[in-house]
Amino acid sequence: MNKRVQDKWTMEDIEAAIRHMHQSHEKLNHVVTFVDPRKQLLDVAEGPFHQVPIALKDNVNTKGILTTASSKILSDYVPVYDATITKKLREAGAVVIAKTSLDELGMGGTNLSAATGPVLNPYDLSRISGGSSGGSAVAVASGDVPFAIGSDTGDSVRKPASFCGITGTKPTYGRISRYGIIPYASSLDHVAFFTRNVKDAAIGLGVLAGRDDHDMTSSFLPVDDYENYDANIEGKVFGVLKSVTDYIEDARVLALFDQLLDKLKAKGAIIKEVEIPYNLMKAVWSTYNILSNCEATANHSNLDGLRFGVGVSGESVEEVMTKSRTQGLSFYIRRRFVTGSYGLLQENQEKLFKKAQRVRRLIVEAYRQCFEAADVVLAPASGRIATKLSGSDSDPMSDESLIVENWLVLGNFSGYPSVTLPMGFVDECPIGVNLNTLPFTEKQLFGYCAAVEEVTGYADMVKEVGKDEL
Amino acid sequence: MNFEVIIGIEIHCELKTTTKMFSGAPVTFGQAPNSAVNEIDLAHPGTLPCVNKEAVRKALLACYACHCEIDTLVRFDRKNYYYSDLPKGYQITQQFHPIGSHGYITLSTGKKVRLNRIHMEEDTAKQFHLSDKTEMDFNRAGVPLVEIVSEPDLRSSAEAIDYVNQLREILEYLDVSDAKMEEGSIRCDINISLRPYGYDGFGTKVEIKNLNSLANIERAIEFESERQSELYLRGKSVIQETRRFDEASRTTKSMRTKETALDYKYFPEPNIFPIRLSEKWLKEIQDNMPESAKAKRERFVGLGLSETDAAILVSQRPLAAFFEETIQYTDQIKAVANWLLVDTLGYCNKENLPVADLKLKPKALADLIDLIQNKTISSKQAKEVFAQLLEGRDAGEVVKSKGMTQVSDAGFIQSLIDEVLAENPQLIADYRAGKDRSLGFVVGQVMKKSQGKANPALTSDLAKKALSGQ
Repeated sequence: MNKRVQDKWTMEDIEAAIRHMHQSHEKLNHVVTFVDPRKQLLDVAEGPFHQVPIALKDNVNTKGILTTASSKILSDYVPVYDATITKKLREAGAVVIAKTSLDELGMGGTNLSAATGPVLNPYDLSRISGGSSGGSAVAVASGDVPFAIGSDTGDSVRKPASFCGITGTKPTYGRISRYGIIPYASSLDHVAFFTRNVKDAAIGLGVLAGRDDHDMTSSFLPVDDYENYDANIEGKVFGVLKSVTDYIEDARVLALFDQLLDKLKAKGAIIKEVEIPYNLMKAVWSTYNILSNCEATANHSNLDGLRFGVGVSGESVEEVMTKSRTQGLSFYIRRRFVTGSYGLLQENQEKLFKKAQRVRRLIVEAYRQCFEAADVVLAPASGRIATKLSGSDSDPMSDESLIVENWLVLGNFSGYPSVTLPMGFVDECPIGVNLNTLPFTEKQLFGYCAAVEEVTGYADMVKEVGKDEL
Repeated sequence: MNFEVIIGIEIHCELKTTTKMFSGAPVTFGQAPNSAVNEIDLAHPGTLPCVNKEAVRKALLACYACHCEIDTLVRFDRKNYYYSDLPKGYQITQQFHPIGSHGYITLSTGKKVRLNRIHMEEDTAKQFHLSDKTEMDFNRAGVPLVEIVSEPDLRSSAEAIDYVNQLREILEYLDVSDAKMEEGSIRCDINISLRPYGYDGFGTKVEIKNLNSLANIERAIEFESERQSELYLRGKSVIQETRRFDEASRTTKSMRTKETALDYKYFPEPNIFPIRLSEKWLKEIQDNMPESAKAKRERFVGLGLSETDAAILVSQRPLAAFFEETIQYTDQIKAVANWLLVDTLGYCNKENLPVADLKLKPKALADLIDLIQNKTISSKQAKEVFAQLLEGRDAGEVVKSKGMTQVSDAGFIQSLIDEVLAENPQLIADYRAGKDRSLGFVVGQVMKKSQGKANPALTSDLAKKALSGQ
């Protein structure tokens, strides 16, 4: 199914989407919970999403519907309240048909750590979907739904979008309320989403954006008419982030990127190079590692098995908490919490947490300066296509691993808006390009993205994996 | 005692707001357990804090009344520790930037006790440890608190109690808090150390947690200074530790030592951006500061009351308020004070009734006083009427229903005197023979015939004339 959000949807379409999703789930394992939509169908609002079937990442709270964050400790958690965006989407007419898989608690980039098992890439079932919003990415890429919510703390929407050949939009920090999203790291967490074209992304942001008094970090700035973006890029400066492209090892990826630049130039764009000092780019991963884990360890201290979630009985309250956390959280999550706690210890804060905060500010300042020379900053979203489920043999400390595979974190450090969209294929697997602009300029960003979409022709791509194809 | 006692006090004071510090759940006292909670208080996944503006206003009132410097950039931090009464696994507090600092409180002796800081935070849940289980009440979780921390300027238990009383009076009169120790709206932690007289440094301090009455503060200080003194005299040292006061044995007991002290891993709360307080709002708060107890006492003295009477009236805020409302209705200010201090307080003490729970209405008391003043009723009748007013009735209505209106009609009284003299002709002769008893007899008979309504003074005058034949 390659129907778009902007198309007219019927009740039959919703039924078809549900059937389609059941079929693709058998192959891709991307759904945690199929939501029975009957109750929602009693009252479908008019609006830009009227009768559009959508999927939500399973860290988005849905009142009365299981919300697990793909973690064992929340495997029985049924929220008593809706996330603000759940309400907004329902008020725009959307019908939630599934809650999708993620890396446990949103912490990961492969979707291999979900409690329900790995999510597979529809383009190559031996490859990962990417994460942490892998389930939602796959739901859109495989043609189940035209729109799915994810969340993006490091690159958790924009990287899987690259691996799955779709559009992943992360707006400015504060543009969309985070109330009701099970957090990872509060200062880096963004609500983000997947579509198969730029226009649908603009429609989606129009519905989701806006001040929410439940989220004090949400912005009071008025919501733009994003759909009226201008795709004319004549005279616009596209700043290629040389600090990333310099370290891409796969020549095929660079070739795709260069072709794209040529086509943009032909459309009148001015191509320039922009740079961030090497030492700062190399520090992105470690800075992220400290900050995200420090915030995460505090954010998830509520998961103690006492008031909700899976509690393991014990002789004392302390024992219940210890056992519930030990048994309910996987080893990798606990390792992150230990890392975070270590960084926050009084004796370590200065050299770890506070230092990371200072480095974050330096990186953001260098990133901001790129926009003094360019209207939009871009680079390939990844240096390589999705890795194999069995793992990658690349050196984790190489420049490519540290810089190219982590540069999207600049969008989380800065909060600037950032969109990934398909750029081409390598080994029949998609790879994306990522575009960025200054805060609260999503409308302009959508214009640049629409220009890219126009020159690549990669709008509305679907990779069916139903029984017929396999 | 061979040593000087050095005492500092930390007071946790619950703010009197309608909703909690970071959630919209109501603040209640004495309600059914867990009836005033929402998903935020229970730290359900995905919830976010939202600062209660009224709580900030009340904290500012406290700061101004204690002569603090105000930090106009309000910031919050996380204090991380696992405990079952702390749903999030961290408390939101103001570790790094308290809203108020460098204030002082004046004791009744005139001595100034310096305040280190006043900061805002949230309360924890209440726990009830039973023999086989622990029960939790989350109504208190998230209730706004200010923590008021003194410098180690106090030197005795008497000063400590004076300090707490002064502070309590300030907070109560600002309407910032109920300031009731017995209901837990004020809780004290005491820091105490000893040093030889004349020595400038400080000895090792011990913190005593959660003292819930003035009597316990006194006992804890007395016990602890004795304990430390004994240790020093025996050549031993005091260890830095946290102790608790055991009510049963009236001793302090060790909870944890410095070696096992928790590292709270404080870091800035990422979900609340710093809030800049506007000059206009601050001025509005300062311009509308409720009258302090001290100012009120002085004003009452200015109205003609004695210092003692003014002090007793102000010692209870509801009593002072009752006084002020009553004198709206009558200009008999001293009479109002007398009725309140003697009859009303007497009744309250006898019935063990708080002034706030009196059924007596200020207007009714004022009317009663006026009825006495204009001689409509006698002071003897007034006592009888007052008893009815305590049941909530109105003065005029009681006087009327009892037919108590005093008769001052000279003609009517004269006719009664004539009757008495006709019935007892020898009275005139007796009177003229010097028997003063006759006058009393006539007045008594007239009162009897008039059922107590005859104006006694007028009756006496007229009877005197009749007996002497004038």
